[in-house]
Amino acid sequence: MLDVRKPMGLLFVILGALLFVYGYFFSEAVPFYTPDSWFPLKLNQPVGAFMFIFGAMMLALARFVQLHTADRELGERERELNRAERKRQRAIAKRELAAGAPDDSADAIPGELEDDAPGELASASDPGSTLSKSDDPSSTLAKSHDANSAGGSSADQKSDDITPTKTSEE
Amino acid sequence: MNVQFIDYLVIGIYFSFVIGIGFQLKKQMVTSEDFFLAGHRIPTWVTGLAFLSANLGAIEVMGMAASAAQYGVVTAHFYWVGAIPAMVFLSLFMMPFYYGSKVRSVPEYLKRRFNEPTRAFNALSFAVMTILMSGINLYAMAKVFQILLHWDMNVSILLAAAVVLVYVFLGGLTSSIYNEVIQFFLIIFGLLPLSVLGLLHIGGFDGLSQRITNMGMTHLWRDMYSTANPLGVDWIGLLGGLGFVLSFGYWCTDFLVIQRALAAQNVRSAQRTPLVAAFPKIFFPFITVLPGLLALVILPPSLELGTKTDYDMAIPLMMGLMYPNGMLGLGLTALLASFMSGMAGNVTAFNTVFTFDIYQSYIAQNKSDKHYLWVGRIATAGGILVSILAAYLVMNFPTIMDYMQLIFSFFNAPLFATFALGMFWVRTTPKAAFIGLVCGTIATVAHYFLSEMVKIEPDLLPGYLAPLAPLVPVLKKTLTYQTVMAGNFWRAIYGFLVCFILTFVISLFTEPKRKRDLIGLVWGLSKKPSAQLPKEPWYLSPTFLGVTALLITIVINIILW
Repeated sequence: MLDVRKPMGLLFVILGALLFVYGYFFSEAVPFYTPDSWFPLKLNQPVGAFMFIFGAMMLALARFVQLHTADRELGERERELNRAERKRQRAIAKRELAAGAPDDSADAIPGELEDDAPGELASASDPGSTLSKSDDPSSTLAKSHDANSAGGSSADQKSDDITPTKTSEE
Repeated sequence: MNVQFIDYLVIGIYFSFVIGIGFQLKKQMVTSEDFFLAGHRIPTWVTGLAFLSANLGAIEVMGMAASAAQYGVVTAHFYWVGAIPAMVFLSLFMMPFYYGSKVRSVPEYLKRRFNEPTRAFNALSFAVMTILMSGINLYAMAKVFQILLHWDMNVSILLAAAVVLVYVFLGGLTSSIYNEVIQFFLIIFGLLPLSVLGLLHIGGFDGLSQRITNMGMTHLWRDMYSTANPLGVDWIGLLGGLGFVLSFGYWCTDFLVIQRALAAQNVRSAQRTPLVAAFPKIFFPFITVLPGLLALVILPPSLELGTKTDYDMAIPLMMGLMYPNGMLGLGLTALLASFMSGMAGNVTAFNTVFTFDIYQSYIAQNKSDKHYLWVGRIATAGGILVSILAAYLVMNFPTIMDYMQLIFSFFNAPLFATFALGMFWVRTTPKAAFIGLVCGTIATVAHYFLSEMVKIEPDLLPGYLAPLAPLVPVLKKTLTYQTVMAGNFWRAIYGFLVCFILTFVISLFTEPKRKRDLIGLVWGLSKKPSAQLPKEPWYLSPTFLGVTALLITIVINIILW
């Protein structure tokens, strides 16, 4: 869902800049009278500046919320994968115990694992290779998550890669 | 007023954004729920501001300023006696039922609580009301174009209607809500400088009080002990008519505003929606009522403020006087934004009620979701078309505000009695609700008809009214009001009482619904829907927020006593 702050921020930045520039270059101050005195007033400039600042704040807030949401969802995904991994480990250990021969019981039983941990871990036939550091999805995500938290361009890239399921916030 | 290219540019940029949002959201409108209820995924701050902006049409901006120029600061009673208590009541007591019962519209609630005829009557009357209200916004918009830009009235009406049609047709409720939020901030930026500059110019609030010689125009309650005040109504009529019936009737039962809260993510967000709106609403008289008072003092006599037309033109004329080019474009954009948000709010409410409560219920049941999505879009176009006709009807009323309160007194006043009994008294029966609602509405229309009739001398009545001529002297004493607004207040009270008493009495003699069918719909039979949600900090609780809003309102009333 489109974050309303983005179009709103953009509109106010454009209108604010337009008013400010027009006020600065193309309009002259007019005397504004109060009961006691008068002062020169160029109304376009202060209003334009306020609108520009407001628009910029909205855009920044939209960006912050987008990154924060992506970050939170990455964390949730990471926790979900960790849970699945723990279940898988427990299932393997259980089978090893039942078979009484730990070294020969590395093969997972697909049906059981699919029930416990749906997704990418169910079809693992060689736990050793599946859990190698380079292939472990949770560790990969953890790295991405760290990079994302650190901010900068990698964070931007990561947030673009994610399609948030729920982008709104209270 | 010299409108230049920069002003047109500001207006053009705004229009392009409004339409662009509609196009951006079009691809997300897959189901009818997306189109009509925004998929229940809008954040609270957005629904809250949309709740406020949907009501921020012509009534708030031009209507309130016109009333302030006509009646004085007592116009702020519409906010501080009317809106705020009603919004708090809606949040704390009624929203849990609306949201918790998972209804898609207010008429649907009536169907589940009572019966099909009650729903049908409400759906039809609501459809008529929204179209009439939508027409007001169109008329106001065209009037501004005509006076400030010297555009032809017909062209202005068609242009404004076309813009609203495009973005509502494409993006449905979501597009309407998003644009309402943008419009809210535009209105602030476009109108706030007017109040600030006006106050600076005349020496602040003290200067304003000194220049307005009629003390009743600058005090809220000072002259409310009798009808000898600019509003022409005493405190009983004010509290009963405006503070209770009209305000609660509008804010608690009008689907136009309720629909925004129903788009929230959960019941607690829905409850907070009116409260998010209530806090800015408390301070809105500063940019709506105040310019009307300032116009009385600042505008040169040559502008003849005080005639029928110029009351409504108080804000546009002030803008012409105080804003330079550029700001003038922004001010005009703010006015246009307010009219468009008001119109779009009515149109989205209309298409939802028409599609779910009229078309799906009585014309074509069991069609595909895609079919209803298209019907909603066609209803949007049809609603706007009829609004254009309604715009021409509005031209015959003294002020926009008088016209709107008249419509509210017809429909919302009796409806509030039906809701009050239906939601809080389990014994209320479907038959009683239907009869009460119909009779209450007839009573308000009859009251209006008779109060207009007594203004005519018996000898001059048209032929078809001649049999009623002997009644005129008798009715004249009770049905003559000092102002149109006073008539609206008392009409609302009578409509409410007729509906309430009839519904109550008939309920005692007719068969109520079974209690198990009313779970989730009536107070006392339902668990709190928010009980399933995780606990939240005390300062976010609707009760705390509501009480705070009421306390601020009371303080303001005391200050401006």
